Amino acid sequence: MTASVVKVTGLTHSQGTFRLDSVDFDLPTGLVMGFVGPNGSGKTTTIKALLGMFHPDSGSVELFGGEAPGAASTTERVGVVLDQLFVSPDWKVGSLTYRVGAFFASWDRAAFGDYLERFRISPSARVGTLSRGEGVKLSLAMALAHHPDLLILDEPTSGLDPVSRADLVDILREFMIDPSHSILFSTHITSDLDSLADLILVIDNGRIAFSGAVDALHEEFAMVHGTEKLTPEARASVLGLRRTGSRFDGLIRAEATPLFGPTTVIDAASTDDVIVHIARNGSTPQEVHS
Amino acid sequence: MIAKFVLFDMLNFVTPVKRVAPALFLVLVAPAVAPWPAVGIGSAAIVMSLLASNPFATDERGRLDTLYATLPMSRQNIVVGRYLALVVMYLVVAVLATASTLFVQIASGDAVDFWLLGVVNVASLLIFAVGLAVQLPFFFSLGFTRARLMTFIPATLLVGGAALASQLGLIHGAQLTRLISHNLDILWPTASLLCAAALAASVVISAMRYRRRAL
Repeated sequence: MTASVVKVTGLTHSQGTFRLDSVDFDLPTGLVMGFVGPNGSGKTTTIKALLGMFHPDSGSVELFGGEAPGAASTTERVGVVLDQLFVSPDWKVGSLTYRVGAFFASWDRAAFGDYLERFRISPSARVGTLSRGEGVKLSLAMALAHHPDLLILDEPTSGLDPVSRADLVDILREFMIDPSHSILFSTHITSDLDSLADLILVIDNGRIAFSGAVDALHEEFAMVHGTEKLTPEARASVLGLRRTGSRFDGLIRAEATPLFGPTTVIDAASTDDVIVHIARNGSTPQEVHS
Repeated sequence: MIAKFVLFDMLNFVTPVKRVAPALFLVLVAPAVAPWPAVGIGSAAIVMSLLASNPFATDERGRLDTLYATLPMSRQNIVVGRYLALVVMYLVVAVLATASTLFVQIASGDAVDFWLLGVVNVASLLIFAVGLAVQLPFFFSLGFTRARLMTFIPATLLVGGAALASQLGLIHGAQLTRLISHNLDILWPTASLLCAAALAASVVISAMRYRRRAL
């Protein structure tokens, strides 16, 4: 059995009106887990818990088979890329080697320089002058320069152009050549995960809506479209039911397929379909009319 | 690891230089323009007390609390490192201010009063240490924006309190000088002990508050 690089059990935390509610998941070593969900669903809060940035109300987070998040021995092995850079805009890019690299025993000055060259980021540039895409690439260079075993990415691709997104995914693929490496990749651009993710974790309103293999997600859910009148059982089985005149569409679990008549079209559900309809179901439990 | 953070913080303190240069320039030129040269050393305590919030402002501006969470070092070490960095920077500024004062006195042909310089340095260190001990737990607990009033409160209370006490006749220069002269042998150890105790208590509170703070 493959050891878990991340194990989250019953993670619960309230912050204002938002509540992360009994989040459980497991990321085995050597795999990429896509972490998807609408904005405000709890992705960033969960990632902050993995980094030890707050103390949860209850539950536990274990990294690398039992180590606490935030401990020096774990942070040395974790590379982090967030949606915004977390270095001072006044610093020069090249200075990160002695400002940040000095803290890591495994910081590879040459590798950092190579990444800067590959990303065409000048070491003499001030961080504050970098574009959004360059900022993400600089974060990635910092994260990879100390040779981590686990990469935690929090919506790094939001706001990036397609070329930069493709570059990022290419680098992540290279990172995954080493079987001891793992990635937790939070995003709401699910196409980034298409060729990369082995597992998928869907979160909505602070709760895990699905956790498993990408293929299992597509097997578990299906889209229904039709015009027929729905039986109460069929109607209850549809997540995020949407009506447009006499037509309806929504998401169902595959096991609910027999509840629908022959005139209803049942299609494969994309990851986006699952997120949209689960979120819609959470916000409006009955149905949406348009 | 604490030493690395001290260096990191000191480097950040002077980056960019233009942010701290005017205040440091004031400390260095004060002996030449003020009627009482030792005011340069005294102003070092006030200026450095006002600048103690600077690293926290830099933390917020660059989201450095998030960076610290990704570094292989504990929050406790970050707290200790920041206190040490600020004390070391104060000592550097105090040495520069003392050198500047000596230079002005020698250049102007005045007799150098080493006793007075020593007493002003002790008082200045005490003022800075107490100011730092009061301010930093608030900054570690709340961050710069929510605690920014603490930038000015210790220095304002100190300067305002001294001015008020002087106006009310509670402080007499001659009496104070006599008191200090008669207790010179215990001045340094007492001041050092007070500074160390205030800072140690402050470090413990800051470490507890920062450990519990959600970043």
